[in-house]
Amino acid sequence: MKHMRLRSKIALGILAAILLAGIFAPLLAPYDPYASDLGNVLAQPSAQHWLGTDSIGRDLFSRILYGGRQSILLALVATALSMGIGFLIGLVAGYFGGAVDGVITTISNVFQGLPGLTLMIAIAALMGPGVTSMIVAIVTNSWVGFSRIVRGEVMKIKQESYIDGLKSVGASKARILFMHISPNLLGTTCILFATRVAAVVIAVAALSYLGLGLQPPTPDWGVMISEARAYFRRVPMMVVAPGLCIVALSLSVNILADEMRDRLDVRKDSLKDM
Amino acid sequence: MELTKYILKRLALLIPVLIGVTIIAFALGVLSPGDPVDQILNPDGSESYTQEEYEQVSERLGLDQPVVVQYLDWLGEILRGDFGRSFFTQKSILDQLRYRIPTTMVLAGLSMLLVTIFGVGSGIIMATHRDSPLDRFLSGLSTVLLSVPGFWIAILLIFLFAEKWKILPTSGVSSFAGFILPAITLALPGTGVCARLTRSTILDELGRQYTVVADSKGLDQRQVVMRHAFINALVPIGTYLGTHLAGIMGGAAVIETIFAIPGIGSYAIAAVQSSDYYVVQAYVMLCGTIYVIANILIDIFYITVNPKIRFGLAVE
Repeated sequence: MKHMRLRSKIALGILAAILLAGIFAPLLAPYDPYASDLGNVLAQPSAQHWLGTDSIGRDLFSRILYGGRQSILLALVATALSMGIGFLIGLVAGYFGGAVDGVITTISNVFQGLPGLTLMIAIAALMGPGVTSMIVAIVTNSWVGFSRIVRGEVMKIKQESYIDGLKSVGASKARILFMHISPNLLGTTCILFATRVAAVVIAVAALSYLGLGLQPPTPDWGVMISEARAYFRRVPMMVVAPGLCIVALSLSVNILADEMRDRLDVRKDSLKDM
Repeated sequence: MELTKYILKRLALLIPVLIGVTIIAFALGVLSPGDPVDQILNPDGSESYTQEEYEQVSERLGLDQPVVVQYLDWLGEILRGDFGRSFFTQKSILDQLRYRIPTTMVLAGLSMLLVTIFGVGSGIIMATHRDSPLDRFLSGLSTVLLSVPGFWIAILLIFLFAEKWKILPTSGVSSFAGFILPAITLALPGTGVCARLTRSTILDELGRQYTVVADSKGLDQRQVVMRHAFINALVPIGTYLGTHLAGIMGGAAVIETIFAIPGIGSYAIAAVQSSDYYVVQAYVMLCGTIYVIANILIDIFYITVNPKIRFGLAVE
């Protein structure tokens, strides 16, 4: 077992801190994230309000602690759904090949040709802003990435002799697909899952910023940046703090995905042994 | 000829994709909330009309026909270049697109240029200085670039460069300077991805037999990287840049909105926000078509760099 790189250890620490802050926000937050104090608006950071207050006097630090909860959960659920759908479709396309594969590949190409974020925006607007419409939009956009990778891997794996062996002893297709091919795909899909989650958190924030995602007064990083636009000059912290949280989250996830990728990359490892 | 056959085969594969894009674009309009007939007869929500008037307008718009007929009618109009008129401004969508496409093209082109120079450049530097502090720094930086939300960076850049230091305009593209900040913002994530991709593909190639041979012939490291590994790494890099160009049209929408750039992306977002679905349909059509064209270009690029295809050896 290789040692984890320092940067991955730091990333793991940051990710854990963000997740724990989100989970225990109700215990950790010094103030109610929805409670406004009109006598104390746009305050600079102080001992009472570590990051200051926003335009209606809500405590920024408390809102920051709560700010990841909804978007992280949303990103996890939507990406997991995309992964499930993409995985099954890729498995079928890769294993059966032929006409089935042709139809699926064409459909994938159509989805890949659609303008990503704008399609998400169109769907969010079509269904009205909200959690369901964002999940639909993300899944529409993300399943192709998974199905492509799974399809490619399955096409490689099904050439292996142990698959022929399984066929000759009469193992069913479902058994071969789920018990013998799928486990080999775990690593690659996990890495893709992580990088997609990082990208989806950013996309959700962008949607919320445009007013098409999570809605005010939800304490959410994207919503907070959107609400802070007009006051940015007076209290830069209102835009900087939630933005840094999004960067810290997606950066630490991306670094950990790289760590996983390095560990799984067989060719690179065998090179180092040479 | 093998080559023509190859290209025709690739083109044939793209036709169903184009049809699929038109179906989805059309569906976006059909599924959209709100009744277009009602919007025409009753634009401000206070006028009344009779059932007869309603049916007349519905017939005039072809909305009384089955969905399939509506789709074919719509497709026919699109093919004749008629994208219809915006519900709200009553301006011709085609005219708007014609006016806005060049702006988005300039923006996308500039940002592509930045991605190519800085992405490929730092990728090569990282690969040739593998595992050095410089490599570690640049690869860290490229990971940061792809983790930063564009809309947030845009706000910060506007604040620093336009409001605090007053070097560049806050918004609009009345002069070339107006393109600088949005092009940089748009290029950041792509530069990160491109740098990482360039590094890993070159390192991959360096591990292959032919580079080992080149090495053992005594060619110096720089020649091995540039003459051999880089040429082969061009295929994945070119593919990435091609899809990036297509993707940038969609990704530019948010950035165009923040910088108040009159491109097709900000047009689409404004249309989405006011439920102007003909405009959204036209936009989705346009992006899909650009994607298909980009793919054709990538294929032609493959053929020029890949001797296997050029000599007709690898026509699957």
